[in-house]
Amino acid sequence: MFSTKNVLGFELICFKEDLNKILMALINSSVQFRYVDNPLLSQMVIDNEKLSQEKDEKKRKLLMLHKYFGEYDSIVLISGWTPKSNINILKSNLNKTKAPFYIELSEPTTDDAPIIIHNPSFLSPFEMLVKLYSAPNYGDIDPTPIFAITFLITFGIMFSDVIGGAVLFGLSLLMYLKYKSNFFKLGIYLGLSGIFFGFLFGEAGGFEIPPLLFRTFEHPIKFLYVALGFGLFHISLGHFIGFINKIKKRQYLKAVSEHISFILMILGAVLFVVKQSAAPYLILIGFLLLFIKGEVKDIVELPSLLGNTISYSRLLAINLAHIGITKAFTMLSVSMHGVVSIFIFLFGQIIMLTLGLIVAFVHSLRLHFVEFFTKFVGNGVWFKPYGIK
Amino acid sequence: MIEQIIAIGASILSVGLTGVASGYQMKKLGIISQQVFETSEENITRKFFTPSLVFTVFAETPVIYGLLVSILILLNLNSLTIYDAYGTLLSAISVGIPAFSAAFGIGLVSSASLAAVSKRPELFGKSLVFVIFPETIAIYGLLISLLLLMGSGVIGTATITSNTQLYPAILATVIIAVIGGVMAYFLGQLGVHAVKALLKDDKSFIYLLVIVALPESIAIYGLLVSIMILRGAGIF
Repeated sequence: MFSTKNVLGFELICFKEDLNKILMALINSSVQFRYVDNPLLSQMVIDNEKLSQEKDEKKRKLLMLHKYFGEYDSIVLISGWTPKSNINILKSNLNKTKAPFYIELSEPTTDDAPIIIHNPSFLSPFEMLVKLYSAPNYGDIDPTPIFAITFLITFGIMFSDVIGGAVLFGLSLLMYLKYKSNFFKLGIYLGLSGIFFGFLFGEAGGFEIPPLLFRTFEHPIKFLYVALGFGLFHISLGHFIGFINKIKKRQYLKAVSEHISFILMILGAVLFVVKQSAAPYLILIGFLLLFIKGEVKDIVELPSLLGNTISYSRLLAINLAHIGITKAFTMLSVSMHGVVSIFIFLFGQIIMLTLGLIVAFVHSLRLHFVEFFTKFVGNGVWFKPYGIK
Repeated sequence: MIEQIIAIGASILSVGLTGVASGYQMKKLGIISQQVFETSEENITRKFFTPSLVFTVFAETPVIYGLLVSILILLNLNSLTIYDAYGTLLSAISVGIPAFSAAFGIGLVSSASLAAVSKRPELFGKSLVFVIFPETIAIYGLLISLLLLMGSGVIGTATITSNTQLYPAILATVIIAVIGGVMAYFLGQLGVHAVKALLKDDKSFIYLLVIVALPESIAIYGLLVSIMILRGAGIF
């Protein structure tokens, strides 16, 4: 968990006549190829005549790979990345070819190494969502565990419905037992989160149950403060992760100037709201820190800090929309009699379950992608093993 | 009597404006989906069902927000003062116009995304994020609308009791309606280009996200100013 240093670079030398055997062994142990740039070697070219004659799709794919390699006389140099967990399989696969070769494994030193993240299997649905975004830089923190927690919180606040959550949980569990898909696993978590926040805000499919915290429709202003407070916490968390990433790379000044400054300003803003006298000093210190090593983009980002925070007020709006309409359907069905009543109740529940699920899900995703990840995730690339069908 | 008529008018306005736009866009997306179903092969059709459903549901969300405001107004028709009635009218406008425009923005991005997903199904998750941007504007409109409903006694106690509160409320409504109405459509146009760029190279996702999120912050500033005006006038 948390580590993104999970690949090794390899360089492999073999004879040209064994190339296909070695390549198959490499592909079977899932590696990613990289262009060889060595001044002593000449780049291998794809033999177009051979390619056009070759009918077998598998061999065509192998020929297409040749552009990655360097050659010198009858020797070929192959370079690429392999997962750390896979080294034994790679070595045994290569030994099985019985062809002479020399391989050298090394820790990547450059930033262009691809990223693999390892998480316990219960986090796999969140890993799937994190992988939609671009990868963290090599050596940065893997945000998946933190993402999982905050994603469930934002989703739960927007969804907050005990009955809807229970239905979602039940259906996803049944489907998961049958299909074992990541989507249904995610549904189980989302359902549980919906149930939890439903109890917190006292909502169950339009019926009111005693809330553990408060009812959002009765205290919307209080709820707005909770939403914005969560937003400030979330943004600070993003900056904190960015801070740790910079510290790990030994860029101390940059870490303070780009991240601690924002955290101080947020802290100052919070103190300002609760009327503490230290607030202006904190904001001033944070603002001045920005100029030590900050780039232009950080200073431009200053007003967007305000925008990002206000953006979290959507937690309130979507929550009220979801609860309000479910309530309206339920009230309508209670005022009717017989079959019509049951029909309207079911219709309202189904409509609001699908709508609430999709809207809350995608808006949580947006809050994380636009407001949270932009604070620390770099522009790395995900590890993508070369595959032949 | 006149108060009830204004409030009913407001309720019709809010669900009508959003309903027309959402309905039109859902029809458009439905036609595009059917065309893809007709022309594509069997195995794509099965993969394509979820995206087409989700994008169509997104076009429906603006009318749901309009419906919410409409229902809340209709549930509290008794004991309205004339200022409450004006408040409901303002709340209908502040959800109606941004949501109307948002539906068109969503329709633009969704049809581009449907075309992209029919070529490369794996782009579904990424293109969905761009559909969210215009939809966000509808939510901002809804937020101001809910705050105005608080002021007019539909949720909680009425605070719009004189012209001193009514005029700032009108100002806040105009700001969110104009900025939201314009930005939702612009974000839709931007989203179309973002999805096109995504189709070419999906590594550009993070940059596209930043580029589309920047103009969206203009809408957030509009929202912020509206909220501050309402707060300053003591409406919530």
